[in-house]
Amino acid sequence: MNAKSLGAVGAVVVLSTIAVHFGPPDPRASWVPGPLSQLLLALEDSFDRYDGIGVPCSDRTPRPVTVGGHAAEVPSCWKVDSAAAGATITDPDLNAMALTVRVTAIAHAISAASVTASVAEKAHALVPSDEHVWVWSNGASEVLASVVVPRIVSLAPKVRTHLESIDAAVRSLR
Amino acid sequence: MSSVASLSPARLVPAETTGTHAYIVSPLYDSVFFTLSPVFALGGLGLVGALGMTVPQITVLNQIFVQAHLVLVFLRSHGNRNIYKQFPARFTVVPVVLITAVALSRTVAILVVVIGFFWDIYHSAQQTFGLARIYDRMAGNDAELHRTADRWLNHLIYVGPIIAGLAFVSNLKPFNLLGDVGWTIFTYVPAYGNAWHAWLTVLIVAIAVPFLGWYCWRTWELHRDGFKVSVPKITLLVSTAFVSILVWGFWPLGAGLFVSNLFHAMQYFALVAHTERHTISSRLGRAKDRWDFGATWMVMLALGISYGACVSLFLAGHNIVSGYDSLAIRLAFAVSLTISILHFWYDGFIWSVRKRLV
Repeated sequence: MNAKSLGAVGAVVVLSTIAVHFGPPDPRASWVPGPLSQLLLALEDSFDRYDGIGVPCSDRTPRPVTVGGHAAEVPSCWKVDSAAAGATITDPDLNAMALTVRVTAIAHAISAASVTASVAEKAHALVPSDEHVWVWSNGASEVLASVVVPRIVSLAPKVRTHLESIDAAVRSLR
Repeated sequence: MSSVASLSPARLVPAETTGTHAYIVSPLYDSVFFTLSPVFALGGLGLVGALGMTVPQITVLNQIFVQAHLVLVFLRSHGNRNIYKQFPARFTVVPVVLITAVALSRTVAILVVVIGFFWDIYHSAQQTFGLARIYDRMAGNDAELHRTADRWLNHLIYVGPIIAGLAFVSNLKPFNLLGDVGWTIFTYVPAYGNAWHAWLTVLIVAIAVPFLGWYCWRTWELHRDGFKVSVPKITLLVSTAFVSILVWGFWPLGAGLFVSNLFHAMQYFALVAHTERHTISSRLGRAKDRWDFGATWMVMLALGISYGACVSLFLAGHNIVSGYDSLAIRLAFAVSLTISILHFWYDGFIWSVRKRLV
């Protein structure tokens, strides 16, 4: 290996370190020009329609699954190995980066809408963990929702198409 | 093969006199095995699909021709005395050390797998680059002229679509193997690669479009100063770019691997048959006659396919991580991994167009 090749390898290592340290910019960030942002999001959506090896995963028709004894629906191309307790998943919307975890036991205490917003907000902030845990509390009850995604998709700015497990629990704080 | 058998020395006159339509062997041979081989490989994928072959069957078939072409490097490195005497230590000491290390250390074995995977991509781009340079020299151009631009162009049309395409993240997955020897930090590479994928795609396109424009403009400028534009070279580059963008950009990983490996192997078989025909014939005690080309092909096919079939069928269903505990599997991996890494390494210096080894 000559000096040029070593230089190229060194450059790749340095750039990779920078890339890992800073992580990918969110395409929706304000500093990203509009057309570029749209292009990046379109590319992400297009990659999302395939699984990791390029096999199409574009079938978003709802598929009924049972999550912790409860009925739920997920896109047909999702792989769900759920061990959830007391949670249902409804209206998964990957394009909007929203994963609604509706805990039926306290549906009256915490609205599903606030849960959705929190999931979307925290999905990026918790990287690089493979397990994303969200906690919501209204002072009287607490909801813990845990979504495990493969590491290969967990670092993306938005939740991608594969879930390994979804778990949720409710407990009283009083 | 008739055009091959009827090859006459007159068609192998020094390249400088043959002009912009100069071919390595003949228009038909070059078109099938070199310049349009990516397109024929695409047809090969269509054929296995039409035959109804299953994914495991296609995988074994793919491995057979991959392994077959890998072992052919020894016909040139060890079979050709002119090459062998230039690098004796590389051809004797290194293989023994490497095969021993792979057989004794799981870490070395996995490292060789990972390095080999990415070296293969670079090596394949370099092969197309090498062929392009041969055509340029045969057209009568200086071996140094336009060389750097050709190298980057070939990386761009070969590696670029892999980075920008659908199966990019899958191409990073070999890094996960390093987690099995405790180097878990490398398992983050595919994860971060996935996160950066859209940005990388935009970056590649942003580099490729102006570069292609500059390449064409530069070629035109050189042409006005006397540079001869080789038609076979342009055909090779266009067909490689078209197929590479198609299979890596838009098709699944398996399709990309099959097509790329197939045309790479076709080119390699054809090139070795051409360059080593006299060597192999004389080694077999044959005279240098008009049939030596055909005889060389027969020897190569017999050797390559026998080796490829043995390795592929024996190792089918095994991987380096789980199979390493079995002595037989480990030894088979040691042999095949050593041959593959030596192939990539040897090819980097035994085909130098600049040094007129080709």
